[in-house]
Amino acid sequence: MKLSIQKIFTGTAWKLLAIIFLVAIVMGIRLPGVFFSGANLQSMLFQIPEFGLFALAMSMAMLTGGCDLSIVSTANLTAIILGVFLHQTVGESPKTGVETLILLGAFLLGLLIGALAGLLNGCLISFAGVPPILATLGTMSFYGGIGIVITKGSALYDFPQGMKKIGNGYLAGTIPIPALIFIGFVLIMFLTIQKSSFGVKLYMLGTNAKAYEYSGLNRERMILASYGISGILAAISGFIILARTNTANADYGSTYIMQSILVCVLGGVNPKGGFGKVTGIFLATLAIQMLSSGLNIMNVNAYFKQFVYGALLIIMIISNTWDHRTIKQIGGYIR
Amino acid sequence: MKKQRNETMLLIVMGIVIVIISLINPQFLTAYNLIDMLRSSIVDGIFAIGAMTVLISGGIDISFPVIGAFSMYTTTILFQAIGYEGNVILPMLTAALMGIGLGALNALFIHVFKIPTFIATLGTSNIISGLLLTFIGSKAIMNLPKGFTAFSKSSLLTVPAQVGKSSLPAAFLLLIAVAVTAWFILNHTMLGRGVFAVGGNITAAQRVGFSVGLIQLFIYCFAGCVAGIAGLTHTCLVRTSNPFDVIGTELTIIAAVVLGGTNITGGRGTVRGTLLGVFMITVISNSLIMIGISTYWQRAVLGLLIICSVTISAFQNKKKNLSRLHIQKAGGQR
Repeated sequence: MKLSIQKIFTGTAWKLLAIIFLVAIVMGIRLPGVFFSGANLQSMLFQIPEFGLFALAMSMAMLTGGCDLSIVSTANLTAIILGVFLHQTVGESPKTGVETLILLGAFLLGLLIGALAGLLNGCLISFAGVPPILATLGTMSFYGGIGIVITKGSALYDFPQGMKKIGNGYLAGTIPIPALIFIGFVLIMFLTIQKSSFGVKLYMLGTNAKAYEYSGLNRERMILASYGISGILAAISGFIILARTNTANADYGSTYIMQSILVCVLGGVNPKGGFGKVTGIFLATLAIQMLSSGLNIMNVNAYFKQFVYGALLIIMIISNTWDHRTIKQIGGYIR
Repeated sequence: MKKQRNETMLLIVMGIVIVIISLINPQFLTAYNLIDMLRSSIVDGIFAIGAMTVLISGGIDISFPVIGAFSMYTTTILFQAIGYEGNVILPMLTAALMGIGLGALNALFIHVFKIPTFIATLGTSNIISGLLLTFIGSKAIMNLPKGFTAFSKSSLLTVPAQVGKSSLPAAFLLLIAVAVTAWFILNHTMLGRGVFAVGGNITAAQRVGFSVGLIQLFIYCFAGCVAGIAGLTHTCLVRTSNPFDVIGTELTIIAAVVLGGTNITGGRGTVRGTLLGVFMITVISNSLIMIGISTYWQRAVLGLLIICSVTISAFQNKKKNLSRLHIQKAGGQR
């Protein structure tokens, strides 16, 4: 597969670039000097990784034609369990070497929790045959509930310095570390979804599950894998949340579910499965972050932001459906 | 046949739960506690009937609490502003009409633009709550028109409690009225057949000659209408109009509907089962406190309950599909 410009810049990408430029121009005119200041760009880079990873997690489920509502709960549960783990293992003033090792252990533990949470979703969906929305609605409440039981409804805080450095530090003094982690995972997901046989199978399952099974492939295993990856990505987001905010809370960021679905739809992922690219999701993440920061700077209240997101979701999905319809009419050009 | 078996099973489970709880805490099986639980099931019950209709048709609606909140809050403000003195019937109709309008919006996106129901209602719920909380208001209204308070005070049945008394409000009749209406439409009209048919197989329904567009318009308008009524009932019962009370209850209510035996992929469901499901959820959340389990467990237990009930429902579907496949195969061999 060659990387051609035509392939990357499908209709979705043009729409996204249009949104990015529109926001940039409006902000540039209305608030020159504030929006394009280094401080704002840096704060945007700090906010992107969390919901960018959520969007990637959501897209893994959506590519199979499903949906993963439990991502934010998985992230919070991961953050809480890691919080307890760090409290138990890190003493008063550990040596740097020991601390690094513990943080690495915490990261791996987080991946494990995410994978387990995702696999439970996958089991419910593939083996039991529960519709993804209902299955993950149940686990969303369940994971969140376990988080509440562990924290007794309050927040955990006060974690080792190393954790703070991961969440709030810079590489070379300018680029936030969470943004680097995010870009790393965008690359990994790009390679997995768009440059490997796994990705081809994923698209195939999403486009036509029956054809997938009839070509001798194991549907259950694929669904397990995609929800497992979704859980892992959510857990990494949880790790970043823990590191950045230095707290772990069962109720953090419930609006991220809506945002991540919006990012996926904006990025050209079809909720019925089979369509969507990592590049699109990446651009959509940038677009939504610019929009969100812009609205924040303009002092728009959180409720009105909800309205904007809702309206954008409906408009984008209508325009995407029309794109797909014209594609079908032109004659079976897929992706 | 199968439906009834599901309901009997739910009744048996509920019976066991009630016996266990009342053994641990005898306070549970007292007249006033039962009436309290009925009272707190009213609003959820009305919401659940709307949610059930959507689930039967194979869709999922998560915008109904927001529609309820919008209708109740706007109605309250409207009738407060004009200094309304009459009874609750006119406000109730207003709230129901608002619900119908907002439901029609859902139907538009779902039928005309073919947006998956979950995404469409997610979008509309954000749009509606954004509009409500930004432009209409977000503060709780304590001082309601007289008719609202009078409605909440009228009671059907009053029993003495340890402190004061516990009474079943007249709003219970509203729940029964909504339930009977839904039961009648679903089981005794062509429209109801259509709802089940769309849920069973939308293409087949279309080919048989059902007007899928009109049926979907009805389903979402009905869900909206019922949500409006539920919202205003909630306002009357708690004597405050606070949008945040209602927003976010969709999870519990969908759980109750699924628990009540409504098929998760559509095509099956009963009003009786749904009401049982709602009561079951109330019993469980009430009993956790009564048997001394900390309220921190509530969400985890709710989640586990949803997971179990959807899994059981899914396995039943699988069995049914397998047996159907078997019949087809046998037929083919002949």
